[in-house]
Amino acid sequence: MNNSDNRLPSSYRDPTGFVFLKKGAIYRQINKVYKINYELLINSGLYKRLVDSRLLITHKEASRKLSSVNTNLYKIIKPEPIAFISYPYEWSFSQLKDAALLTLKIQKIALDYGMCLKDANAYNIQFQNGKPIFIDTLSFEKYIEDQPWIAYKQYCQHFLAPLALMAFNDVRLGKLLQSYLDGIPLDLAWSLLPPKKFLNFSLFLHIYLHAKSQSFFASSKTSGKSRRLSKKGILAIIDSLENIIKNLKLNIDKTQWSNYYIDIHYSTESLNHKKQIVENFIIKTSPKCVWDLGANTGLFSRIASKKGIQVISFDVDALAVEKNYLECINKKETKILPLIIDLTNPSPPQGFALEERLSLIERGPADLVLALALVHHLAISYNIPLSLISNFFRKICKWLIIEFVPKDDEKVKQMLLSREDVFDTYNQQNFEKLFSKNFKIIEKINIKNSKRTIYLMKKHEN
Amino acid sequence: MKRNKKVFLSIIFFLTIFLLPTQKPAYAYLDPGTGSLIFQVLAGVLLTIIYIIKRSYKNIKKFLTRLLSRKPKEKSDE
Repeated sequence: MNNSDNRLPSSYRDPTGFVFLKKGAIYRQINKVYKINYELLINSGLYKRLVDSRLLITHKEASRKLSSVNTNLYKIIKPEPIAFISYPYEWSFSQLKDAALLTLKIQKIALDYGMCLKDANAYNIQFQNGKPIFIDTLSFEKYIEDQPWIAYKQYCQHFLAPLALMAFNDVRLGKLLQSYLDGIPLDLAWSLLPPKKFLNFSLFLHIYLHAKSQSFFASSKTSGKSRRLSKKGILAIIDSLENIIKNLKLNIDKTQWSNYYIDIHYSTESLNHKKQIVENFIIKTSPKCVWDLGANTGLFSRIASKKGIQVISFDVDALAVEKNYLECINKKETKILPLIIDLTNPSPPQGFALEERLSLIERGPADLVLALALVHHLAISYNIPLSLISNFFRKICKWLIIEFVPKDDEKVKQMLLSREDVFDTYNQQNFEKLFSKNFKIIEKINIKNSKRTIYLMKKHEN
Repeated sequence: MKRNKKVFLSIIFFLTIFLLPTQKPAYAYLDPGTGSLIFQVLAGVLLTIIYIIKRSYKNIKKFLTRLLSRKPKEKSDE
């Protein structure tokens, strides 16, 4: 791909424009071919309606001189920056559900203004200030009377299929989106759903019959009237999708929920002391962006977020992330973004030429990383040598608040009960030695009534 | 032969004209799949019919409840 125009590698599909980077800022070029639609978006009042309701990101028109491709240039706009780019395969169930409902809401409003969404992929949504928001300003096009919704299939693949699988089978199936970047094929989704799928008419219609129609009508040459659908028909489809998605819920009992974040390895005094140490260290580093690794439901993330710091709260457990997100919604917290990340296999670069979707490391580094009660899990449960853990942290942060849990800690003893202790080098002295290769230890404090220590480290400049 | 050729060309011409409107979204980069489009039309019609039936059912139910609840009142008026 010609990248002389600084365009982002993910911005190659839509011929109506592209996103590019200039002097560290994101811009969007609008090509002449989109002129009519852009004017309609602005002049119809749709842009104002969506922006006022915080459903679409705002933008300002910028100088045309910023463009290096002038042949098709119509306008350059500067969209409001997104704090952290996340991907659907990193979202919890409710995050994907909220993104799905937002897409339908926007499509409905757009139809009221004589426009419609020409695509409905989950990558058009990002989370900003605790809520999903639509980021693709060029997704709107003039609604042509009686034309079906062109993005219906894409919507079902990106939203309905994964949500149904998460609700009916297992919440972890959301990770299928990592393999299928253009959404889960509907025939695959149907084959994975449990037998009770037959009792759900909407699923049968939008997934099974929809999948079957692909092959049934594949060779059909019908056109014109047979492909006309009134606005009422489109609205009926949207209402049906909205109803089914609103009714999809995770099958979790209350006891499962309440088991989260009852950390039996701390007394109240120790936990309070730990919170105090972490808070003091955060104040000392005054970060703008914090990554909390192994955040569980975000207890320590909130120490930073309450200070107005943007926190990305990562955990491998899809339910912990779900609970964290629901808490953000209930308490209207705007500074935490909970995401599902497996640190033993973090999101890799994905898509065409491995350049469309960024890896976790490419989206960093964070000013500060919190790694609390984490290293022993990586070192002992996953056999990852301390030196490799230290090297990984070096790549993702400038400051590090890290907790060391020694072998004689109750939790580690428990972990070693069912396996042979092959971790001769797992001790505090070696931990300090190996981490000192990448970081300078600024301070270390023992947690009261505990054998655990919390360190504040700063990455070496070179 | 010549006549047949003319008819054939006319058909092609009218077909092209007729098909032009369906080729309008020239910049529609998304391929919705032929099957999906045809299916959507059928699903849309079906869901609209269901919606109308549901609405009519609700209206009839409303009408009947009103009618039934009014009766004793009328009696008492008498």
